[in-house]
Amino acid sequence: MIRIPGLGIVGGMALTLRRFFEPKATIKYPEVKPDIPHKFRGRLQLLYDEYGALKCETCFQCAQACPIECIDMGGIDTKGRFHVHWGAPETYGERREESALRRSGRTVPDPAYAHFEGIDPDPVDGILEEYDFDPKQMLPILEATQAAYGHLPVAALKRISHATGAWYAMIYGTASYYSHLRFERPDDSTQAAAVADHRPTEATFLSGLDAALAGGRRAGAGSAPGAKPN
Amino acid sequence: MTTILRTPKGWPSILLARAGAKDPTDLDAAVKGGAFGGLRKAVHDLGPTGVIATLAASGLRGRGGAGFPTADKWRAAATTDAPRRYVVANGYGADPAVLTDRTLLETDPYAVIEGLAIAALAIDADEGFIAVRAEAGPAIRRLEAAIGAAEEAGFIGPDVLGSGLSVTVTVRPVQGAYMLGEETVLLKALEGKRGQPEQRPPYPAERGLFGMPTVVQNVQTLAAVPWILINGAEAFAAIGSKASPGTILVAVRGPGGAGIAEVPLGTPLREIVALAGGPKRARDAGGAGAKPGRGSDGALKAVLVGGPSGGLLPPDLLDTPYEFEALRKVGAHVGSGSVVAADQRACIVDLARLLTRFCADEACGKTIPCRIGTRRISEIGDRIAIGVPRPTDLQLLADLSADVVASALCDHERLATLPYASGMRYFRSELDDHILRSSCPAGVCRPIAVAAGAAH
Amino acid sequence: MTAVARSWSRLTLAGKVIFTLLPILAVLTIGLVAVIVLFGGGILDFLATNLWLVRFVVAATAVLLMSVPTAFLIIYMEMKVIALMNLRIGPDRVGPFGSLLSVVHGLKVLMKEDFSPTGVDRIVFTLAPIVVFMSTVMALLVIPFAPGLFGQDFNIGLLYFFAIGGMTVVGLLMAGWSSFNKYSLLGGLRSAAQVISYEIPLTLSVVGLLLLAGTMSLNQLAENQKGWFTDWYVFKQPLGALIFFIAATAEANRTPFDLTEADSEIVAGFATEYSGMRFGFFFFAEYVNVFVISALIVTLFFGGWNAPFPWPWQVTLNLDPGSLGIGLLILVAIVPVIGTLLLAAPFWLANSRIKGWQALIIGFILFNLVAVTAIFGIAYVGLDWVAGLLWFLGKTYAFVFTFVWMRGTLPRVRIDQLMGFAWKWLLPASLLNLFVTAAAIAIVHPQ
Repeated sequence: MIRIPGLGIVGGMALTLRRFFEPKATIKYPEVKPDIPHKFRGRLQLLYDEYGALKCETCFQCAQACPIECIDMGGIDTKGRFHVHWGAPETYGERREESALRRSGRTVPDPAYAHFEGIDPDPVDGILEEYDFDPKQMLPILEATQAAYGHLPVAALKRISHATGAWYAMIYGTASYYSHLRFERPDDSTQAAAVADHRPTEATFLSGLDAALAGGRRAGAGSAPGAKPN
Repeated sequence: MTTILRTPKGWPSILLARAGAKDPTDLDAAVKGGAFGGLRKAVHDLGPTGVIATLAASGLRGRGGAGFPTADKWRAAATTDAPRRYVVANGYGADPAVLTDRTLLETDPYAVIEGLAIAALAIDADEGFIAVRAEAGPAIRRLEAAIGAAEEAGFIGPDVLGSGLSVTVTVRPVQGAYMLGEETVLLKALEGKRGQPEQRPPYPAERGLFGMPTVVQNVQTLAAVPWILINGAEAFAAIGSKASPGTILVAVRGPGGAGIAEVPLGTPLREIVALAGGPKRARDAGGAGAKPGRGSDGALKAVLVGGPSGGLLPPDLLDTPYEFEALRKVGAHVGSGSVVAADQRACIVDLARLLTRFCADEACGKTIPCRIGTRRISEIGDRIAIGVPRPTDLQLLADLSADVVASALCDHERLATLPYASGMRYFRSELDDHILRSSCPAGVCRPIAVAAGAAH
Repeated sequence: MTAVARSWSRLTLAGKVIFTLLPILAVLTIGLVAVIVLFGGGILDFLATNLWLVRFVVAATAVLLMSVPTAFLIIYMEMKVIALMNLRIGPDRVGPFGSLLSVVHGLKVLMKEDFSPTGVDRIVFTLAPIVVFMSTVMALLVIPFAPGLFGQDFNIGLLYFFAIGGMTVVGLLMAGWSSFNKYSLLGGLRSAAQVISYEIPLTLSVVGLLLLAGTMSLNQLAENQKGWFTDWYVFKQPLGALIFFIAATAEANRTPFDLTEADSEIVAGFATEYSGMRFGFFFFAEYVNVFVISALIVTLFFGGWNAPFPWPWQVTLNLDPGSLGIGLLILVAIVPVIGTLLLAAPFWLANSRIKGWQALIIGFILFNLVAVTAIFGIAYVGLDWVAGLLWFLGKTYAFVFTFVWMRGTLPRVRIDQLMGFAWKWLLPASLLNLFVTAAAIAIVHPQ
């Protein structure tokens, strides 16, 4: 096919001329309203209630459901963990260097980022080998990782996500749900106390039941009002 | 080991038949005691359809708390077209105060294994899981030993009793959430995902573990199956009540102590409470006005039936038969099989507050009515107990509970409304004492009316 | 403070303007009336003997007046046509089909703050837009719109046109230089480089045409293409027409050669520091330039004001309405009424739902349509300049549409590609065209 100069231009202009006569794609709002699917949510935006508090309860549904993993949770979730993660999971740890932290107004170093320091990958790699990189065995993998490191470091979770192919959001969602898995270090008493404050254990319930049946007041926890959602 | 209470002689012993065995993992002793007879019958005589037909005739209902007819569940799973099916035995025992499932697994693991194998054969599954609490060390050890022995003997494994069918049984220790008692949540945990329930239908019998039809049964239900196959459906149907035949393990707690008993369904509550030292006669049941005191025999105030999300029943209802429909009608439920007698020392509001707070804390957070609704119910209860109630609080509680029940995804939230709902239904005077008169009859709460005008 | 001063200070700015202007205007009007009364006769006599002066003033006024609405129209066309080609709707809300949008744009440009940045060369800065605009408008003077309808008929009309086009470069450089902004300067230089590079192929490509036609007068060139469309020069000088077209696109800074003013390039190039009406001048100048080059292409190669085919039959309409005398007045009074009634009757009779007054309105509108068409037809046939104007404008706007079409389709070329194309391809091609034409003339018509 010999290339005749100018033929491309002619072809392009023929196309635009054809388009000139085609029906237009514009929807003339507000005379014509577009056909919005029934479950359309519009812009992802956190809403506030009439008291000015955020309605988001960090229940993790959206992060688990998002097919492109662009949502991550921040703040205190319903299980009382405090992880101040912002933005898409792959943006922190890899791209958030100190200058970005400073630019964003955070102090450097930010204590939350202590979670992202490196770990020795051998234990978690060994665990993954043992469970054959099977994401269906996520709970045993996480329990073994916690046994190896004393807690679940974020770097380990990312490693597991890379190796098994399970989404980081799913793994984080699983790990933050079960009370025997912990993100805080064993020696981090502040975080551990905060978690314990928000999430009483079964032992608390049992002792509370004993006390209630015996008619005595539960030590300390009796007059505390129910934990407020964030 | 929890105490197994002494039961009246007339009561049959199906689940705890081999409870007194010296070594529960001794296979020969168990077989001599009748273990794996049902499996033999299922494999050689009945076949899958026969098993399901027998169960249907017996009327066995699930012991996990909801009481769904077992045969229907197995039939649904067997008839759903799929490449694989699974059976999951739920021995988790979500209620921290109730150790019935764990005890069953410790005392008679072979019954559960046999029931699991029969279920697997009935629905043509080749893999079964037994979910156990990770903290229940003895139960896990005994189960694993029992599984090993059973496999060696050929009762489970690649070739069950020479029939060519294969059933693999694995023990899965799970822990970390109260919600794991719910079947879809348990399946999520087995899949390694976040434990949040799924919309049902489709039920796990159609689409469950890994998307395949799964039969999730409580270990008590599975343990009853061999007995039915050996002794016949009519014999089973004759035990217990007409609508709910058979027996169930109940964890009773009362002034006389606490323990587990195997109770025929349909037994009046009075007899169950009496096992733990409750009042035996109607006139001994106390009411308002009886003196609070320690261990007084006739000072029963309320019976908490159903665990952390159970209903508080007054002594007048002690004649209610302990079965699924009757309890639901009075505002309680079988649940985890817990019957706790509370005497005059306990405050209803305080008890309900504790239970609701527990349910709110253990909520998985998936749906708004549960996540926020149970929390709000808990807060309202706190307000009543502390002394800053609002005049609309009781109405609000009723409306909120109705809304939560109507919009619920799983039973956790529906049942979490029961403590306060039954409290309002039967103990209205005590609630009014807190709200209107700022007084706690049992002396537990300190409802000092800070803004006295608000309460009126 | 005196009362006058106090009242003065209370006025708004608009009030102050009006109060100053009114007395001045009154004085001027009285002065003008006085001049007319006193010297009116003398002035008229002077003008009658110097009709060229009248003609010049009328032509200049007409051209000036015509240029801005043309610019508006072309701006609107550009927005609408490109939108339709992009499957959008374009201006839609302002006026019917958004047609008043360009008027609004013009008003907006007028209302913007008119500043000159610090450090600019005041005089040059102010003059640059004027130079650019004027050079474009001056080119309109020589274009023959219809037989007899042109500004001036120079016998070096084409040369005049190219000379004026060269003045645009001066304007661009003035703008770029005086802006006190390196990027404006760069933009201005690039723009100037582009324009002068493409002027050479532009002028060379029509030399062949000049050889054929033997005249540089645009009017004469248009007349030479009378007859069938095959007489048009585009068939005699196809390569020349093509080169002219491409070079003219570059001269007018149109896509694909519009990098000097594209937003993604150096902002607005030489016009970066201009705002308000100063920018308006550049803006309008560009669009009038589009009209001018379209008109030029039509005049040179596509027959000017000639129809593609001559009327096959001779139609002479010797209408002399004046001979009717009083009958004319009666006709003018009666015909509309009768026409309305006649045209309304079928509607009223046939459809019972249409009331009488509605039928009359319909009839009136229809009569207007019929009457206008009739008058138009008479004018077309009777007055040759109507036909000529119509064909000329039609062809010109077809080319304007083509320029807009190209803008909607083609990507931009880079500056180096642009310059390379002009010097390495267009220039040799136009020289080739010239040699071939000259050789052909020498062989076929040696004289």
